This record gives sequence, structure tokens and C-alpha cells, in this order.
Amino acid sequence: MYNFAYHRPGSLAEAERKLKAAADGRLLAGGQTLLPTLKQRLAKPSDLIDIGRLAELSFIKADGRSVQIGATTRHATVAASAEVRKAIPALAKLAGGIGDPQVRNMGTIGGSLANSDPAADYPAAVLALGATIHTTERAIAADDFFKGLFETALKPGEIIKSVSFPVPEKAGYMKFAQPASRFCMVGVFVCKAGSGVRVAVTGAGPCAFRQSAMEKALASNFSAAAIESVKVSPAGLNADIHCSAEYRAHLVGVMARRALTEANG
Amino acid sequence: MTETGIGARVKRKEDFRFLTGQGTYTDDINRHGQAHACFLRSPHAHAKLGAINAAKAKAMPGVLAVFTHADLAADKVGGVPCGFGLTQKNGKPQIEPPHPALAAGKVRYAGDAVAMVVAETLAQARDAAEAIEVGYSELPAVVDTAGAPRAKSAVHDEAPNNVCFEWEIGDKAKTDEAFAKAANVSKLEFVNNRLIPNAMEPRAAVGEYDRATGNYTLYTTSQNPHVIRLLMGAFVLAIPEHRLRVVAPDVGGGFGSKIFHYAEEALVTWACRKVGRPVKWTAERSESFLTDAHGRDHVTKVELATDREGNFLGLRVHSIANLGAYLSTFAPMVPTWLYAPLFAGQYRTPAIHAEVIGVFTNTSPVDAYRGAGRPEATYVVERIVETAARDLKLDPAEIRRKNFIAPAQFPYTTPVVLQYDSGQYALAMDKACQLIDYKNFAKRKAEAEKRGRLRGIGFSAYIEACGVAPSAVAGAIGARAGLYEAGVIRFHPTGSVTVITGTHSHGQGHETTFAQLVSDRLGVPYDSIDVVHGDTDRIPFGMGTYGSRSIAVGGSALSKAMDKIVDKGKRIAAHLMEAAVQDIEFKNGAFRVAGTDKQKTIQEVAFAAYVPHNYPLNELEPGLEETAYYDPANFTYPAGTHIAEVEVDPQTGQVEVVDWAAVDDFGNVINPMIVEGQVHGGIAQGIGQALLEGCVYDDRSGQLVTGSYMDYCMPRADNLPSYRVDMTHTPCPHNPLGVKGCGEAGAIAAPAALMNAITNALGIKDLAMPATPERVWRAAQARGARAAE
Amino acid sequence: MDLTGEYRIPADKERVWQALNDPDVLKACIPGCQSLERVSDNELKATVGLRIGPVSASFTGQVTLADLNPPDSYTLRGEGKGGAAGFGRGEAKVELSSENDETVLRYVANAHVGGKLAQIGSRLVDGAARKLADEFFAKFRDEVTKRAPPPAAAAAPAEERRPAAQPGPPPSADAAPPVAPLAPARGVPTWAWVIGLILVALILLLVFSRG
Repeated sequence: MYNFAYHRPGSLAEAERKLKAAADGRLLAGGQTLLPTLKQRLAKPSDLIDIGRLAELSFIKADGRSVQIGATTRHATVAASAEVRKAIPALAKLAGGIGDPQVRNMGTIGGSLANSDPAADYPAAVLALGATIHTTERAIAADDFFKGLFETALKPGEIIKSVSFPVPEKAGYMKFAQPASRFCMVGVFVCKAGSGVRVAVTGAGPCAFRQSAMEKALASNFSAAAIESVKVSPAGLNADIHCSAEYRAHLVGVMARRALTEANG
Repeated sequence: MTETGIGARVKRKEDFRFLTGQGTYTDDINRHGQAHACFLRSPHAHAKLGAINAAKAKAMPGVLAVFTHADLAADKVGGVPCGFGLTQKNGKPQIEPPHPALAAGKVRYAGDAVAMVVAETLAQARDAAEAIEVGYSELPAVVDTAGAPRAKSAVHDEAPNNVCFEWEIGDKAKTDEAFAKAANVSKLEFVNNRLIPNAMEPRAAVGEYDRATGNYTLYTTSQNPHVIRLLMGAFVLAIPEHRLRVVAPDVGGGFGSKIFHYAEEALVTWACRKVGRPVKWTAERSESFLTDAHGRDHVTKVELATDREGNFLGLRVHSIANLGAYLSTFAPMVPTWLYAPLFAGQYRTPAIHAEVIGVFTNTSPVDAYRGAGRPEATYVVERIVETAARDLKLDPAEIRRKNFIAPAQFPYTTPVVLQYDSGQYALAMDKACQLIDYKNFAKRKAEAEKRGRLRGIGFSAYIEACGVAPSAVAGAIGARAGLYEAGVIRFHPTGSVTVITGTHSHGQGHETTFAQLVSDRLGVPYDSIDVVHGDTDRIPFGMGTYGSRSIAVGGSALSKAMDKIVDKGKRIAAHLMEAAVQDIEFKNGAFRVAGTDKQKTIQEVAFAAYVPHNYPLNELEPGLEETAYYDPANFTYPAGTHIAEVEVDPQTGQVEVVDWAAVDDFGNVINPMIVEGQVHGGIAQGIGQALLEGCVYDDRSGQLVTGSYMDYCMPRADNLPSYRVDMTHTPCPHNPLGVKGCGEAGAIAAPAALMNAITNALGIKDLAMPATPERVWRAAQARGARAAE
Repeated sequence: MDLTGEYRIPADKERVWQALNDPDVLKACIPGCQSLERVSDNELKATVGLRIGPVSASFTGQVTLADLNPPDSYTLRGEGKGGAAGFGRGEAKVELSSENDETVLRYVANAHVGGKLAQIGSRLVDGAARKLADEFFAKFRDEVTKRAPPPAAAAAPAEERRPAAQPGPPPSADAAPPVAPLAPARGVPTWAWVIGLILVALILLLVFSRG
């Protein structure tokens, strides 16, 4: 690591001020991406503003129509939450399958979304459930949030406060983990709600994206059988030493069908 | 059997300190005034080294020194030596280019050390390393193992075609003859995938120089501190052994990668005198990936000739083995003498010929990794035997039984040099088949099919040669050291015992096993016995731990030392009880006068030896401490059968290892729980090789692209089934304990069993390791396409 | 790693060529470009600061142009150094051709990254390369059209990109960012190396992540 100034603000407002005042400040939440990056000397921030312990950002509230999760809520907390398990079991399952226990005990939902790793789990749920991301400045719809590889709609100095998930009628998540990292080689989240059917894919592109062909096919028949004939093109999908674009395209179909079976199960 | 004696499942003594974070590893050692080292490493796989400008780095805060090869040359520091000299088939020695401790003239792999920075703090050392300017002019990288001899670039001028050696074993003419008359020849070509060891504890070293005495101390992560003292003292730094102490404290796993002498440990020892401060270096994980010696990496063609009934007539093997950029300590031995002599397997194959070409490439050095040559050999034999069974439509268990060497045939001399001492191969096969319920496999397969899963079963009837090694044999084939072991039994006046061994425990539980052995034999309470290892100042000598040798060679040395203790004890007891020595019997910790109830406990005898008020001083020296050296008469030959069962999800290519039966013969067993643990861990590593682990270098640039856990997949608990483990016990006839060694068996047996199972499930001939989901999916697709035709 | 790309720019070839040789245009198009300097006729030097996700790094790069055949084609070789992060190096062959009042720029690049980038960032190399190339060319198209009115019947600038060809299963290791860009004009080449640099930087950055 290179040297940096460390701050642990007592409130969100103070965190905002510190972040804006820093020459090249970074927020530290769970640190599961940032800290390894710093250890590798791949970043040299002037200031780290640690919001990981801000009580006002760590909560889970459910009111029957939606579940709201504070930005610094740990994956393990979401996975174990009775409210989440009751309202959106697929979301609890997703949180319980991120990384390993160490990652789940430290990593936060806000950190994951702000980072927008192409292979992260949460973006699939946020996008498929049509969640809203609440920041210090505004509310951002999931559809407007993910912009590209590690790129989101967040502006400099803007901090995620919470994410609210509408409670769906049915939802399911299935992930095929990259064997080494256990990130998503492909993850598919399917959701049926009053507003319609949404299918989101993570791990396969520069950031999470919706699979509209499947959404169309599922609109009238929310079942695995309905998408049997939907072909997923490998064009533009990620490719690496673990997985070609062609295999990823195939896995999108398999994971989607399995997620549907789970959602209906 | 007592609760702590031979055969007892005693919980490990060392676990309290390990599990409570109280172990003392090399990085835990901090010496007064210690400075920190870091190494600037080449980002290029192959490049000419131009000017190195360290002026800026030297002027940075806290920097004590920046060293390059020029500094080493000025001090006449030697290169890193190879401990094995192979004779090629043309009678010439292997090509052995120099291995400078810091790169000289050229860098030869990504990670090759170019400069060493020593600073007050680690962060300062790293900052300074970043400020060193190095002129590289890139050269084409030699990466591909099979293509190395034809590459346009030479890793070393001394080996223009990148060939280090061409070596052969066996009778070529006789083998050709066998093939000529064969009814069937089965063939396979495959790669034995390269592995990165990944011990939990990265390598580390602390060097310290005492100006008052002129003595050096090196704390290092080693499996064999005496070997490091010998190699580093004699060949690199010219420090006589009596002035050099090497300590290998708690070591968090080695798997072979900590056998070798590495440049970094020599450099901290050299630098600590240069800067007048103790110097510590600890590898970062990224550094471990790049610079720990890797394992395996063969490209092999194998053919097995059989008659119509499946009797083996001849075996022919050709392998190209990647040695990496420099010859690591035992590199030339691993793909030759530790590999090809195992080609007889458990079988009576009458004619065998094998050829191995060792090549240099611009990759990290390759050396012994758990099993070292024998997993590769087992993979060759057990994959081709399985293939022959399929070609001939024979049951895979039957074709093996038909060819097993029978118990009555021991000692059995194979066509590839070894003399097997003992074994009951069919017995292990039968037990393994029972354990896994082989006869009902078809039912399980049908049931899986209903769930959309392809179920497969695979055998691996392995043998290994371990308990290394008879020194005369080792010397004859090229080892530049003996391979005996030393042990000391030291009684203290009040009856407790210190056991000193030249083997080294880095996860194997020797502190427990050896204490059990001594407790059982001498009747001293287990808790009164401590085991010392890993310090050249406390141990007479030792060759360390690798090649499943600790109990077979180190344990035998202790056994001999205990014989001497008992002999001396009898003479002391005879004096104390005023009886004739020949009338004294030793049993259950007491010396008795035969036929009487007179006895002296061994504690009383020890006390008499140290407080010799009533003692035969004119015949015997006081004290009760004995040292023994043991040089084995032969290798030991653990063997057994492993059977793997898998289920493949053809839609995703995911392989689940659903069952595993392992029946091993390690001869006599001291602590079955520890032995089972070794089997479990070994199988996990073997499953890792077959299913998950694959070191990948970019084939053009020579960059290591699986250089972190993001891309290099280590086996985890959820990748593994619950194993069914059992044993047969055929005592080793030539060592005093009848033991054979168990450390490597799992890793040796497992890859072949698993790949036989996966190819069985998919109904295909072969699949490359690791069987990644995409590879398996593609094979399943192709199979589906064939089925549809 | 091999990468190919194709971009349509709504301007004629000469204009594209000029823009490619205008340091101001290039500087504006290269994400994070801090300085851009011509060392000789066929050599450029630049400093680029990139921040991607958690990673940020500063790269210095050098690009050499060769096989100049203005205004149709050239080859560029580039190298970017990111200090502790590693380096990137590559070669790209760039061709310009006219089609319906537009210029089509095609490149075929091969490149590799070394050091930490290669060691820990392999999963992100291709994606990062694509992203950078797209960013560069999107800006470039904007700059060209902004500075010169588009030809009369400017069709909507359809852009098309083909991802790196990489069929087949994973085993072989292909990790490297592409060096993409373009080329020189008569006399004074410029901008090209850009992409190479960027790529390198990106890759560095990416690497880790667990949210």
C-alpha cells in the first residue's frame, strides 16, 4: 500500500464533506475490492473515508411492498435476514452465495453496486427486481444505474445510501460460479412482478444487463419451457481463460431456465 | 496398543499452537534491528538486461542498500546450485547453465529477480524498488513445453535447442519386439498439467550475522534445513557449516516447493552482513505464484501393447518435461528417475521403454511437487490401462487383476530397475470395489441418468517408490547427496525424553507420530516426550522431509537409536539389579531380570545414568542419549487402489465428485488418524490437479496469467466428497518398523482415477486436465451430437 | 491477445487523416490524457492517468509508426509503462477506406500486457480493451464531426464493432490488451498509441473486486 489519510466519519453528512474535500478520496465500505487493490499498489488514493461502521447506513426494512437495505449492510446480514428471506428469498440466496464467508462478512451491498464489477452478483438482482438506488443526491432507477465496465451513474462525491427492492410475485437466481474466484461466470436473476417480467444477466457482459428476448418470451408464460427456444448470441459477451463467449451464451440459457424453475418451485 | 502408542488415533500435539495462532513461522521471527528486503522482479519472460539505474532508489528514505548482480559478482557470490546431475542417454552430463542469484545479462522468466532492496521498513523497500530503472530489451519467449526444442529463441546459450537432457530407461529392442507381436495397441497423448504449489505460508527468510563470532543464522521456510545449509554454505556463500545455522521453524505447508534452495534465502544471509543488520524477506502471494518452483508439466505419448485377452506385453512412453528457466534443486531427477521407473505400475508388463526430454522454457523453474514424478507416472500407466480395457471391452478391474504382480512374486524386479519388496494388489482392489459397491454401479448410473446426470467410475491402481532413498542408489543415478536420516533419543535425568530428528514437519504431525513411536517402544509417557526438528544447531544432521520418507527413514533412524538406548539400559539395569546383562528383558518401560519380579523402570535407569552414584563407570559412560543414522536398503513401495465416482451435468459441464474409495497399503501405521489425514489431503490435491488447477502462461508473451486466486483454482472443501478410506497392511520387509510412508499416495493416485471416471461418464477416450466446466461441456456436446447421429 | 475493430466516421478520409494527426484532437479523445508530445516524426510520447473501478494508475507511453502509407494505412507499435502495475505492448495495423461519404477505419491488433496486469487481471483484459477502444473512437467521431461539418447526406453514424475473435475453449492463455489506433499523416504521425496506453492502464486497474 501507499500511504493515505484515513478518516472514520461519525455521520453520512461528515463522510460526504470529507469525500468532497479530499484530493483523491475513496470511500471504504467492506473493502473487499479496494483493499486488495491497495495492497497490490494499483491505486494511490489521498484519503480513505471509512463508512463501513456508519449505523445509519446499515439496516433492513420491509413493509410488505418493498425491502429497503442500507448501503453498508453486509452480504451475510442480508443472507440471514428473516425479512429478506420472507419477502424476496431469491435475494437472500444471492447474498448467501457471494464469494466466501469472509467476503460475505465484510462486503456490503452499496460497495458491490458502486463498484459494478462485471461478474458481481448483486447487480443482477437490482436490475431484475427493478430496484431503486438512493444516494445522497437522488434516486436512481436500476435501469439507469449500470453504465459499463466498473462504471455506474454515480457522480463524483455521490454516496449510495440504500437500495429499495419492490417485492416481486416470483423471483429466482441461479449462478454458475467461476471455479477459482467464485464470481459469476454467468448469473441470471428472473423476476415476475405486477410491472412485468424482468430477466437480468451478470458475469457475461461489461456490466449486468437485461435479456429482453427472454423477457418477451416469459411475459405470457413464466416458465423454463417458455425460453427453451430463445437463442442467446455469444456476440459481445465476455471471454477469458475460464469461459469462451459461446459457452457463456449457453450458460445464460441454462441458468435462466434453472432460475425460473426455482422461482416457480 | 496403549492410548498413545503405535496404532492409536492420538490427536496432534502441534494442533493447539496451530489452531490458536501461536505457531512460530518464519515471518513471526523478528530480530533486533531487523531491516526488510524486497526484490525487483522482471515483468518480462525473456529479455536482455541493460543498465540498471538505482541511484534514485538508493537516495530514498530508509534505504540501506540496493544490490544487483554486479554486487554479487564483486563478492564472488555463487549461483544457485542444482543438487542432481543426470547422465544423458548419450553418456554426457545434463546441460547445466548457471543460475545467478540475481539476474545477470538476461532475465529468463517473469519474476526473475533483478535487484534486491534493503530498507528500514518494507514499505520503504517497495517504494525504492519502484524507483529502480531497468533497461530491458525483450526477446521472444519460449513457453510451450512440446515446442521448446524447435523454438526460435534459446533460454540459455548453453542449450541452443533448449534441451537440457535426453534420457531413456528400459529395453527398447525388447519393447519393440513386444509391440510387433501384440494383438492390440492402445494409445494416448496428453499433457500432465502444470501446477502451482500454493503452500498456505508463503516463502520467507530472515538472515542474521553475529560480528562477535562470525556466525550466520538463517531462519527460512524449508523442508530440509541441513540441505539448505549444505547447498547455500558450500556453493553460494562459502560459509563453512560450523559458522552457519539454518532454522526452519513452524512451516505452513511445503508440498515439495520448500525443499529447494532458493536465491532469496541466500541473499538475505549475504545481505545481512553487508548492511550490518538482520534482514527479513517474506514473499507476497503474487510473488509465490511467480517464483515458487512449479510442478508437473509434461507432454506425453504412451502406447500399451496387449494380447487379445488383455495381458500386457509392452509399454512405450515418450515425454517432454518442462524444467522452467533454471534447474531447481532436484529438477532433473523428477521427470526421469522419480518418474519412468514407476512405469511397471502394479503389473507384470515384461517390456518397457521410456524416453524423456527435459527442456528449458521462459517460465518459473519446475521441480518436485507432492508425488514428484510418480503422479505423472501413475497417470500414464492408469490412463493407458483404462484405455486398453475400453479398447478390449474388458472390465477395468478385471484387466488390472489379470496383470497384477502376485504376492508370491515378491521381491519382484521390474523391467525399469526397481525391485518391489512387497504388496497385495488384488486385496486392495477387492476392498476398494467393496467399499464403493462396484457391483451396483450400473444401478447408480441408471438412477443418475433419470436425473439428467452422467455417472462415471474410474480406477487407479497406483504404486509409488518412496522412503527415499538408499544413498548408494541415489548416488549412482546422480544425486549429489546421501539420503539417509539421523535421529537422537535423549533421556533427561528425571525421565522425560527429547527426540531429535533430521526430518522436518510442516504439517505432517511428526511431533505426534514420533512421540507415539518412542512412547510405545520405550514405555515413556507420551506427554513426557517432545520432538525437535528444523534446527541445524540442535540436530546432528538430516536430509529433511519429502518423498514420503519421514517415518520410513527418519522413524527407522529413531528405531535404531532406541535399540541402542535399550542395549545400554540393559547394561545399567543389570548393574543396578546385580544380574547378568543377558538375563535382562526390556518390556513396557521396565528392565526385568528374567524369571523374577525384580525390575527397574527406564526412568530409574535414566536417573542412574545421569546421577551415577551406583553405576558401572569403568565399563559405561554416564548419560543416556543415543544417536543413530539409518540408510535404507531399498525404496518403500506403498500401493493401493482408488476408485472415483463422478456425476457430470451435461448442460453445464459441471463435474461433481460424488464418491471416492481409497484403499492404501502403507505397511504398518503409527497413527491411523494422521495417515488418513494425509490420504485426504493428497486426494484433495489430486482432485485439484484433475478438476481445478491449471497453471497458464500466455503462449506468446510468457506472462503468467493464472497468477492469483482469481484465476488459479485451488480445491476447496465443497469440491470434495466424503472419502471412504481403508487400508491393507503389508509390512515393509526391509526397515525395522515395517512402514512405507503415506504423504504422497493420495496425490499420486487421484488424478488418474478421476479422469478415468470423467471419461467413463462421458463415454470418451480422453479429456485434458483440468477438466474445467467448459471442456467437459464441449465433450458432452460432442457426445450428444454423436448420439444423435 | 488479438483484437479487431471497425468504426465508421462521418467524414472523408482526408479529414479523418488530419484529425488523426492533430494532437489537440487526440488529446481530447484519449481518456485521461495528461500530456502528448511528439518526439520525432514517427514517435509520440504521452502520459495518461486512468481510473477504472478501484484502480488508478498513471502510464507513460510511446508509440512508433511504421509502414506509413498515407492516407490509407500504417502500422503502429506502442508500449505503455505503468510502473509497479506492469506494462502493455502491442502492434496494430490500421486501414482507412472511403465508403459512401464515410471513412471506415479498421484495425487488427495484437498486444500483450505484462507484470501485475497480466498476472492478476487476465479476466478483464479483453473487456477493458474493448471499452477503451470504443471510448476513444466515440470521442474521436464526435471531435471530427464537431470540427468539420459532416458531409451533406450524413447518415446516422452507424457504428459497428466486432469483439475480438476468440472461439474455442479456454485453456490457452491469451491475456493482453489491444493496441488499437490509427495513424499518421504525411510527415507527422500522432495519436495512435493512445489506445495502447489506455488499455494498459485499464487493465491494471481492473483486476480485483469483490463488492
